Amino acid sequence: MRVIPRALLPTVLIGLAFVHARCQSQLRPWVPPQDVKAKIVSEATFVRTGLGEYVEGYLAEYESEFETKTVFMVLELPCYRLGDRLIVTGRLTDDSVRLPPRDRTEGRIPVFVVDRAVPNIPTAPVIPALK
Amino acid sequence: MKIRRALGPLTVALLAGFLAACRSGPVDAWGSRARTMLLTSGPAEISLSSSRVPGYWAQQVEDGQEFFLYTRARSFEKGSRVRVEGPFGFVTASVYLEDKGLYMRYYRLHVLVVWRMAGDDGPSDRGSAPREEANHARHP
Repeated sequence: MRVIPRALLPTVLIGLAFVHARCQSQLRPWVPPQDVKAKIVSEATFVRTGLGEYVEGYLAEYESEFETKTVFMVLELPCYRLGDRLIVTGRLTDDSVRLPPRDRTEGRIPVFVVDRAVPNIPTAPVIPALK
Repeated sequence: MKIRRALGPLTVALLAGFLAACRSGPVDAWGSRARTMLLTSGPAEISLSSSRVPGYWAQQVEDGQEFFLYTRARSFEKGSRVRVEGPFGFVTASVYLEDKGLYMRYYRLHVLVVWRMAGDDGPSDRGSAPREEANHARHP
């Protein structure tokens, strides 16, 4: 009778420790990166996010589900310019930044961490010749 | 008993040797021999653990291996041949490759910490390389 509780107690304690750690954890489930075609709409800015991180990046706009979304694109090297169009691979985080109100961007702007970015240089469509 | 006593130190020595082999990287990485590099960029920056690291992109003349030379020197120009000394290591950094306009957050590359850097008068561009010497980063 005493053997079973003695064997179960460590397991229960470990289980409780895991549950507690999971509740306290800031970790979020892994989100796959997404590709977006974005346009930079601000100069490089150094800001403090809602979660207290200091990051550098740009305000950028992209279209998703027929809506124009504004995000704060985080790049560790601010190498682009206002107006550049990029194909960006990255992911939205739970973090956000608050910037001085602009014409369309007010309130909290979600943070988008960039893994990869290349210039989006549109190519001319191939139009078949008239017969 | 005698065999066990004889095998003990041998096993310990073998294990020590094995551990040392596992821990160390390529021997060359810690050598500070001089290398001849061709600078493939002007003064540039990469980001290592959220810290900006100044330097140059370069290609080792011997084998075309790409390096980032960590140095505060800014006087060399793209296309210069230089002779550099210092240790190097393999890192993952955020980089911007200017020729492609490409930004990468996780880019694996060799970073060489420059102890000494001087223009190299190679046979092909004798007289055109700068003679300035950048001698710093004594304690990387």
